[in-house]
Amino acid sequence: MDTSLIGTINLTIHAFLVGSLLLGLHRKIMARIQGRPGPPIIQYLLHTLKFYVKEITFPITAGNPLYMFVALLDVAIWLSALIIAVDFKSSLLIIIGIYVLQKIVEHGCGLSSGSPYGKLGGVRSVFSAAAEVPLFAVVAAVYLTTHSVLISDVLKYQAVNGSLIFKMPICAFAFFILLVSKTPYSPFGIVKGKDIVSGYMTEHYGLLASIIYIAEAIAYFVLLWLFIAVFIGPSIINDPISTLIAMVIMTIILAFVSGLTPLLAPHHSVMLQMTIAGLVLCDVLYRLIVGG
Amino acid sequence: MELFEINLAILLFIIGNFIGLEYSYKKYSSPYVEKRIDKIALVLSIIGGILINTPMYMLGCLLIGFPLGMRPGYGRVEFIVGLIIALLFYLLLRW
Repeated sequence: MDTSLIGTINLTIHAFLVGSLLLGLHRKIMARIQGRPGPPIIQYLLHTLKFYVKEITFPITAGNPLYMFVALLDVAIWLSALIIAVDFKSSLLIIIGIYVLQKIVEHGCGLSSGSPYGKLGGVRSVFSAAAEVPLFAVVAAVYLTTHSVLISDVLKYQAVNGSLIFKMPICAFAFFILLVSKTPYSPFGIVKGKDIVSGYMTEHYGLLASIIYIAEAIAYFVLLWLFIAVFIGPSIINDPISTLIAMVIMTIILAFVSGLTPLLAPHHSVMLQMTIAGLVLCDVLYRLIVGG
Repeated sequence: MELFEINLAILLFIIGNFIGLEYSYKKYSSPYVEKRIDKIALVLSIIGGILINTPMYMLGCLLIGFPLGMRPGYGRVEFIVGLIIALLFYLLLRW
C-alpha cells in the first residue's frame, strides 16, 4: 500500500466511497428482505452530501465545545484506524485502543447534546462496551497462534499456513459479531435504537452529522477490511477488486442478519456479547494449554 | 489495478447511479407501476456489462450504474442482465 501523502488521501477517499456505498447497499438489501422498496444504494452518500451543505445548529442544551469537537474526534479516530490498519498494517492492539476511543465519542456525543435521547444513547454506548471483550480475546487468540499482533505478520503467517478462519472459527465468529454490532439496524444496535430516536446522534445536525456519517463510512470499511485481512488473508486483501467483492458479500450477509433479527433489549444484547466473549476466552485458554 | 483508477471507476459508478435516479424520476411518475422493460436502461446496461471487462471499464461502471440507480420498481431486470453479461464476458476472457 502506498504510504505517501497522496496515497493516503487516495485511500481515505476510497474508504469513504466504498464504505458509503456498502452502507447504502446494506440498507437496500434490508429493505427488500422486509418487503419495502428501500432507498437507492447511493442514499447514504446523498445523505452525507446533503448534511454537509446544511448549516450547523446548536441546541440550547448543548455543551460546547464538546458538542462540536466530538464529531471531529470521531473522524480523526477512524482516519487513524484506516492509516494504521490498511496503510501501515500495524498492530491490532492500536486498533483495539482506537475502537475503545469510539466509545468516548459515542458517550461524549450523546451527553454533550443535552437531549435525553442522546444521553440514553451515550449511556447505552458505555455498557455496550461488552462488544469489545470478544475483540480483546480475538487478539489474544491471534497472538497465540501467529506469535504476533502486527497485521503484516498475521498476513505473512496466512500466506504460509492458510486462512485463519479455518484454524480459528470461534474467533472469526466473535469478530463477525463485532461487525454485526457495528452495522446499522443490527440486533446489537442499541446505541442508535429507534426507541431512543437516533441515540447519541439525535441532536447532531448539518455539517456535524455529515462528519459523523463520513467517520461511520470509514469505520465500516476499516472493520470489514480487518476481518478479511485477519481471517481470510493475503489472497484476497492484496487485490483491491477481490477485497471489494469480499466486502460486498460480507455486507449482503450482514444485511440478512440485520433484516431478519429484531433489535435486542440492552441487557440481552450485553448478555449475548459477553457469552460470545466467554466462548472466545475458552478458546484462548485451550490454545494456551495446547500451545498455540 | 491502481487505487486511484478504482476510485475514479467508483465515482463514475456513483454518477451513473445518480443519472439513472434522475432519469427514472422524470420518466416514471410512481414506483412499481409500469411492468415493461426500459429499453434505454437495458441497452446501457448491456454496453456497460461488455465495457467493464475492457480497458474502458470506467465507462462500463458509469453505464452499469445507470439501471441500478433507478427508482424502486424500475431497472432491476436491466441491471441483472448487464451483470450477467459482465460475468459471462469475464469468464470468457479468463478461460
